[in-house]
Amino acid sequence: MIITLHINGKEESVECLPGEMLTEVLRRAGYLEVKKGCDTGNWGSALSFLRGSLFFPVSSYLAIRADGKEVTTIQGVAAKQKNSHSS
Amino acid sequence: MEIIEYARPRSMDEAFRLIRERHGTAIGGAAWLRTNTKTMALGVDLAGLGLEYIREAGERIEIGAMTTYRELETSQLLKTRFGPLFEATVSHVVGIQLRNIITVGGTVAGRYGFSDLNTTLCALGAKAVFYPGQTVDLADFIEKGAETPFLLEKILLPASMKASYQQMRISENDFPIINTASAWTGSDWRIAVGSRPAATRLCKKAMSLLGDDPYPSDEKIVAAAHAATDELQFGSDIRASASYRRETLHVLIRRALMEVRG
Repeated sequence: MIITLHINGKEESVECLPGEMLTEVLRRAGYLEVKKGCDTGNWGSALSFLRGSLFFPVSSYLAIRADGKEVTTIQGVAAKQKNSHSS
Repeated sequence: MEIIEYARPRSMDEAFRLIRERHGTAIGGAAWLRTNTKTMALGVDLAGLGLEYIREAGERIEIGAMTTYRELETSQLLKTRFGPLFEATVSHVVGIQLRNIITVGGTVAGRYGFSDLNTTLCALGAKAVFYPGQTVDLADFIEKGAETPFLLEKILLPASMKASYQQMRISENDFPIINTASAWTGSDWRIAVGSRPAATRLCKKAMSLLGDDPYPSDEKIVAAAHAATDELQFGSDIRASASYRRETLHVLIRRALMEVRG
């Protein structure tokens, strides 16, 4: 199935399987900064922000649930920081 | 976990039908799906059904099945009515990121042995409400399960209660070795013990021993702790032996009862 994600401000339509977690989908879409530190999300290395403020372990978050949502990876955070410093 | 077919119902009726008639499996927080190697023929996603709430309803507090641990932990309503009880219960569960997705319903429905929350809910005398309207004692459900596929809608709590949660872990965010919660209902005591490592059970003999005295003596509390450790079964696993669990529980029950008694 196809889901639409707003990743770091950019709209992307990506394919995912029903039981697939967001980590795999993001990495397949080229967002390799999303790391899978463990299989449960305990370590927090695969965090992404969803809905602006709450952060989730993308390795334990069903990709299909992110359909239509904003996702911010660590690169998105870095870009925002850079923009805020340069402005 | 592999999910063959995925459904996102738009109403509780539709979700219930998918579970009952098509043998669908409810998807709650989905926190442990990745580590599960089973195949789910039909996953019924409960997100979007409006089951995320903590609210007053008459003389009870209702908690929706899709309410997350983080919402329990930070709820001002629960803090006002139960003090730091819920924060103490769930704050050791892995990290905030996972507590943002783990749900109350997933924990109760799963009847997990390692659960911290089920122990506290049993001590509070919580009820589980199954759609379309069957209400059962949560401790009974944890012990016996359900005979037919079910859709958990919400948990009912008393409006307020004085209670204490105690646990022992090898490290801060590991599963508990043993846990217990005690509560004074206003007329009697309730003591629940979980992570034995089997699922939560009430300590009925110990509860009976304490009777209706809101201020039991230290001797009576020690006797209740003995009764509780005598009446329960304990097992050994990679985290602790049965005898270590029993000895630790004795101390934790005393602490919990003394904290509630004051």
